[in-house]
Amino acid sequence: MVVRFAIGDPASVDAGERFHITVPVLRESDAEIQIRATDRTSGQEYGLIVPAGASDLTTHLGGLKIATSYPEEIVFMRCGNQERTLIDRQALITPPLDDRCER
Amino acid sequence: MLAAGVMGQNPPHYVSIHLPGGVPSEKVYIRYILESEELGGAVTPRPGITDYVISTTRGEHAVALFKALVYAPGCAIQTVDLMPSDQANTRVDFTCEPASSATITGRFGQPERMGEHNVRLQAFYVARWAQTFLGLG
Repeated sequence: MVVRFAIGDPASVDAGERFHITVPVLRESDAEIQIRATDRTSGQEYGLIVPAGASDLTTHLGGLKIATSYPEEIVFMRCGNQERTLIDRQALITPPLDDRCER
Repeated sequence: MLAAGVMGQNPPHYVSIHLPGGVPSEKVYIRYILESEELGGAVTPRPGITDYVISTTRGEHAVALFKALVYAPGCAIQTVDLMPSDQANTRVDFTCEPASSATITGRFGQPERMGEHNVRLQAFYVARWAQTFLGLG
């Protein structure tokens, strides 16, 4: 059972497809950040968004690593839209993509 | 003490988690587990209180083990690991050790078009280490 709780204020996506989220720098060992997207009006879940192919920024489970700072801009995509080729070399021990997206 | 008890009025045996001034009680996250529990519980946050009271009563006695993770915005996570006794209830002072912050600046790739929707993004901290600390299955 995973312990997970909200951090930082909710953010919006601007017309240029950009967003800013400020998060606390919490204990980084064996932890990660997940970002979940929902429709403000309907409440529809869009699911997790993840860095697109930036394996140095992600944990082996697909979340964003905890860091004291992040690159100037990170390209994100909705989880599940990733190409199979983006799965890292730990694919054999990484959960299937759809499972990972639900974590 | 303005307390919010997980079980209403204070039980015979309990742990009280005391919040310092300036920490908004409605934004506090507390996940805990008692001796030999599989799932434990989480406190329902409430505004305007100074203490969260969590029952440690099992039968007529206090459980032998209580563990918790406490988080409030702007503060580092505090872990609690103690052995309650029948003789006295325990008060734990949540100490807000300021946590630094980092800004994630993101952009969606062309196919997402999230900016066309009224999208709300919320970050979550996933504490996989807490599974081991709390002994969750």
